[in-house]
Amino acid sequence: MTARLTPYRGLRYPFTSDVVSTADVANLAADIDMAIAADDLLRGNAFRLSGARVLLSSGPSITKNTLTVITWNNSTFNNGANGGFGTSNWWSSSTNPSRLTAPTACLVYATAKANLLMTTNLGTNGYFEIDITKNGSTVAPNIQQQKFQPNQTGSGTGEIETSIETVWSLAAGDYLETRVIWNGTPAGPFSLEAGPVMTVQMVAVP
Amino acid sequence: MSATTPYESIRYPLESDFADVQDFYQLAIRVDQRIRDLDATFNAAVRPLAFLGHSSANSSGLGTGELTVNIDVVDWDPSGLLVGGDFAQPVYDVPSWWFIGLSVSFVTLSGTLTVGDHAEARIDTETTDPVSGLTSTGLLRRKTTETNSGGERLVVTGIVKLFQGLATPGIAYYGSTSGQKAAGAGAHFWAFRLGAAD
Repeated sequence: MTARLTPYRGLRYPFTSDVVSTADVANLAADIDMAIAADDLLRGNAFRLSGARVLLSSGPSITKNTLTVITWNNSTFNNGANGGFGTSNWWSSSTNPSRLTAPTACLVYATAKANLLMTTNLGTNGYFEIDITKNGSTVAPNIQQQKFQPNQTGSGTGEIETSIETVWSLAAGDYLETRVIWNGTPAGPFSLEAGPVMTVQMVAVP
Repeated sequence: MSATTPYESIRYPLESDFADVQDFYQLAIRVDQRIRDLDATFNAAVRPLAFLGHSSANSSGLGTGELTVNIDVVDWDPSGLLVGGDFAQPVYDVPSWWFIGLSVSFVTLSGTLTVGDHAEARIDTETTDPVSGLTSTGLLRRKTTETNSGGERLVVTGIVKLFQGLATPGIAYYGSTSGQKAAGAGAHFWAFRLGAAD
């Protein structure tokens, strides 16, 4: 018995000149089974693009005019090793906890949010900025920034809420971090409100 | 004599028939084709139409007005969606929702800026009505005021419905003409397809 193969998955079937045997049935069944197993893996991965959501339960002090990286201490979602691609999680509480590290090459949608608590208004030129950076760099093109200036000249205090939305192309092992900076008339320092958040979600794989 | 399965109409012999190698052929080919179709669907699910690009240099300068940000470096674009720095929706795409964004920093090329001037990141869009064939334009924008504190930084995003669409990243600056402003190197422009709109 000599088998022919289908063009895509190579399912074995007998020549038209063959006499059909039970081995033909066994081969075809086994090949279909393996093809379905491979297909199931693809299907499972398609619904498991991984991501993470990390936060800091406290509100760190931010020195005036100092770009400060936020170090996370908790996660509500951290799916990398259990995702369809890659074998490691995005975030580790013990190793470089400021980082969200790509478990595999991917395109990601990354966001961050932080609130600056002011005890004095920032003044006319004061601002609060939140950035997402790639691989520790703080220069273009590895930084994306959102700056807000409240133009405060009165006696108002309170908080400035700022968020940023970004998209990045990452190689396996590349990492993203969130940084904040403020400047203005007061000497500071000011604190962030407890609970700054960063999220990352795979959008596509190569 | 043979029968067919109720869903995929795959031919198979009846119990009273002699086994025929043609039945094996029909079964193998149909299963092979269906698995190819399913694999294509699952592979496409993790590879939606998407792009990301950035600018490698400052844009040209302006005192007041609008200009296009030149996205000249491709970070991610397997489908060739970035055409000359603009997003050109593929002609094979049906009317679809797209999530689109631009992050840009302003730099000062010359002169002194005026606090309170209008700085804006913007994405101009154009789409075609699939029934009438008429085109219409849209604009996503986010505005801040000049702080004269080392450059304004803005991110603008939005979800837009496009068919045969175009999108162009840009900045606007209105107010004093005393200083020359530009979009700094490292502006990022991106979009990914969310799904069919109709």
